[in-house]
Amino acid sequence: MNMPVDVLVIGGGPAGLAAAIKARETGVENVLIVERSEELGGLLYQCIHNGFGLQYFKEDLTGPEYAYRFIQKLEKLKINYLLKTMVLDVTPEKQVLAMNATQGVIRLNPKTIVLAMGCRERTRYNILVPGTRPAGIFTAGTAQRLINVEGYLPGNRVVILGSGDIGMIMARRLILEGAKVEAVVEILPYIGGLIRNEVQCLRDFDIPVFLGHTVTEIHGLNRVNGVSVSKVNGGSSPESIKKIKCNTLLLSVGLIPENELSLNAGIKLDPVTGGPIVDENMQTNVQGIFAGGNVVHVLDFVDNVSWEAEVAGLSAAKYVLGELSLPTKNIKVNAGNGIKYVVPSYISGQKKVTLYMRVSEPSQNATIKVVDDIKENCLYKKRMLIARPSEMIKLTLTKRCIESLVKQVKSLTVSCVGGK
Amino acid sequence: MFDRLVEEIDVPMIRMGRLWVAKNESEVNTLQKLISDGGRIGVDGMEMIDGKELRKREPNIAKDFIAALYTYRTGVVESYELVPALVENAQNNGVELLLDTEVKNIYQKDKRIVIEFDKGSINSRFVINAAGLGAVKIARMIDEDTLDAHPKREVVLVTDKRLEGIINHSIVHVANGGAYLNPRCSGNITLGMAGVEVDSGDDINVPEERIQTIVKAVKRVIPIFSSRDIIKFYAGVCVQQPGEDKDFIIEPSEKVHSLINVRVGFGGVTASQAIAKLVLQMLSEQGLHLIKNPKFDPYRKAIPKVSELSDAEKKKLIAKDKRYGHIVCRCEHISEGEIVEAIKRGARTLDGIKNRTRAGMGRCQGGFCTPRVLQILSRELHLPATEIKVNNDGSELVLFKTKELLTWKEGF
Repeated sequence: MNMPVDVLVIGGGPAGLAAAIKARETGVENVLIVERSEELGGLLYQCIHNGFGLQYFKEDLTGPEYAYRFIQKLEKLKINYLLKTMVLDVTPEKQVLAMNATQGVIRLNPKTIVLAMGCRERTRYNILVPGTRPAGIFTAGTAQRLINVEGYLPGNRVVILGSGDIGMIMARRLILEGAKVEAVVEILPYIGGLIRNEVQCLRDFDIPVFLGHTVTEIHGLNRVNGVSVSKVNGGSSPESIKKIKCNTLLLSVGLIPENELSLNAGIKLDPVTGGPIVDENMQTNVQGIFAGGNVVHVLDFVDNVSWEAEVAGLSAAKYVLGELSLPTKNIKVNAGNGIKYVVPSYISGQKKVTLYMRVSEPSQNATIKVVDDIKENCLYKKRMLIARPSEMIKLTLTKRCIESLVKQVKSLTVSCVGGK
Repeated sequence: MFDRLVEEIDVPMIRMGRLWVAKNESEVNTLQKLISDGGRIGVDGMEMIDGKELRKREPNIAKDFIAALYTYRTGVVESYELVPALVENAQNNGVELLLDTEVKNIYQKDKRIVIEFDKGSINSRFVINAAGLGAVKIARMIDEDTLDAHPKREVVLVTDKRLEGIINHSIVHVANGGAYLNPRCSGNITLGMAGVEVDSGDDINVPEERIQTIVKAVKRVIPIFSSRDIIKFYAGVCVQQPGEDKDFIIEPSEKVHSLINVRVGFGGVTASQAIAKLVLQMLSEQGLHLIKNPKFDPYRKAIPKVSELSDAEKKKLIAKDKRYGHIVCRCEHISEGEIVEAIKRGARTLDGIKNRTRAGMGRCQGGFCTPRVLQILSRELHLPATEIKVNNDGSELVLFKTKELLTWKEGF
C-alpha cells in the first residue's frame, strides 16, 4: 500500500482524534490516523463512567460519548483512518512501517507525523511488588477492559494497590458488579487521583483506604489468595503487617507515556515525564514530528489531552502548509521549587502560550510564580488555595506578558512557593 | 551437541561467551581454580584477560575489575521455547503425551511396572522417572530409602530490551554471591545470583530483600543498570542432590532396575542431551532392545515470527494467512497468526501462548494483550473464557461473567 500523506497521526485515541481534526480543519488534505486497536477512541472506549467533557463540551459525558463527538466530526471531515493497524517503526527521516491483516505491509513517508500513542500502565514489576506469581493480578486498566468490554469479572474479593483514578473508578465498578473491595492501599500519605473520584468511588462505598501503606507480599500459588499490607517505613515487625484475604489484586500505580516509536525516530525524551521534549508548537527535536496528549506527559483530564493535541495538529498542518514560523529563539522553561515538571520545555517568546504543570506535593495557599533568568522579573503569579499533584495546573502567558520579556532572557523558571 | 539440536528443531541460541570477572587477588585465585577444574574435565577455549582487555570487551563494567576468565563456548538457549519445541518434535515422532495426569503410585507386577494415575493406569516394561522436583517422590514409591534432595530457589530479574547491548557477553562475578548478567536471544538481559536453600519445592516466593540484594550485586558489576530497567522477576526452584557437589543422579532404582531415576539439578537444560544418551545406554543395559527408527524426523519448524521477517517475507506470510498481519501483543509485535498457530501446536493456556510466542513477555507484561489472547484461546478451543487458565489447575484468569454475582449477592 502506498498513499500520499501530509499529516500522519499515530494513535486514534482522544489525542489522535483531536490532532487529526485540527490538522484537517487548518486546511491539510491528506490526514491519516493509524490505530492499532479495533476501534477509534482509545481507552475512552472502556471508560463507561461519566465525568468526561465538563471543560471541553461543558457537558457531563461518558468516555464513549466523548470519543463519539470527535469520531462524528472525523467522519464528517472524511478523514482517513486505518484500524487494527500497528506502526512497527518510525525513522528520523519520517519513514514509517506499519502492518495490518488486509493491506499487509504498509510503507509511508508522510510530510509530518503527530505522535499520539498515549500511555501504558505501570505493572507490579515496575514498582517491585514482591511475592509469588499467581493468576489474579491485573493492572486496573486491563481489569476495566475485561469487565466493560469483554464482560468478565476477574474476581470477587479484590484489593487495589494504588489510588490512581482508574483504580478508584474500578473499585466502584467492582462493587456495582457484586464483588467485594477489601481495601485500597496507597503508598503516599494522600490519594493519588482526583478528589471527585475519592469521594464518589471510595468514600460513598465505604471502601477501607490504607494511606502510607503498600503491598509487601503477594500470596498464592495458582491463584492469589491474599496480600500482606505494611506501613511504609514502619519496619517489618510482624504486628505492622496486615494479611488481607483476596482472590484478585488490581494495580493503579501510575502511567508511563508510550514512546518506543519515538525513540526509534531519534526523539529525545524528558526523564521526568517520560515523554518527548517539546516546544510551544508541540514539536519534538526531530523537525516535522509533533506530539500531543499522554504520549508527552500523563494528563489529568481528557479535555486537556484534546486541547494539547489540537496544538500538535495545528502545528503539523502549518508545517505542511509552510506557515510554521520556526522560533528565532528558544527560551527554556524550567521546573523550579515545588514543581515536578512543565510542558512545553521551550517557548519562542513571541506568542501567547499555555503551560501545563504538576506540583511535587499537595499544599495550601501556595503561589505559582513564573520568573525570568535576567532580572528575576515575575511574569506571572497566581495564588492556589489548594494545589495537588493529581490535578494539573494550566497557566497561560498572555501576549502582553510575553512581550514584556527582554531580549537577553534565556530561560524561565516556574515554582510553587509559600504553601503549607 | 546442542548446536545441532537447536538447528534441527529451530530454536534460537546464541554463543556469546562468558566472562568470569574478578576484582582482587583472591578472586583471581578463584579464576585460576576454575581454569584448572575446567582443564581437568576437558573444557576448551578458556582464556585469562586483564582489566584493560576486559574493559575493551565490556565498556560498561565497573572500573575496579582487574581480570577475567573468558570461556568462549558459553551460550544461551531460550529454554521456554526449547521445551515446547522438543515436545512437538517428540509428538510428531509418535510420543503420546498425557497432561493434567498425576501419578498416584507405581509398583512392580509380573516384571512390568504399573503406574497408577488419578484417572486410570498404565503398565510398562521400563519407566524413566524425570519428574523434576517430584522425582524423589516418584523414586520413593518404589524405594523408600531414596535420599532427599534440597530445593534451592533462584530469583531471576528480567530487564527491558532497551538495554540490549549494554553488555556483550554473559558476565559472572566470582564473588558477590555469584551475581550474573545473561544477554538473551530476545534482547532482554536476565540477572540473578546463586540460589539459596528453601524448605519446599513449591516456594516460588520472591522476597523483597532478594530483589534488592540482586539489584545491588549487579550494580557492582554494571553500574549503569538501574532497578527502573526491570520488567519482570520470578523465582524458580531447582534441587541440589544429596552428596557433595552432586548436581545429577542418573541411575536405575536399586529395587527395580527397569525404573531409571533421572534426578537433575542446576544446569539440567545444558546437560539434557548428554543425560538422554546416558539414559538410553542404561535402558539398553537393562535389556531394552533399541532399534533405530527409520522414520524418525529430527526436524521441527518454529512458528513464524512475523516481526523478524523482511517486508517481502511478511507480505508472503500475510497473503497466506492474513492473521499474521494483525498484531495482538504490542510490545513484542506478536500477531494473531502466531497465537493461533501456537494453539494448533498444543497451547491451551495463557502461559502456553506466552512461552511459544512471547505474547505478554514484553514491557507491559500482558496489560494490553491479555484480554485479546483470552478471547483467541476461548474462540479456538471452544471453551468459555472463564475456563481459560494462566497455567495450572486453579489458575483461571477470570472467575465470573459480569452480572453473574448480582443474582445472589445480598443487599443489591
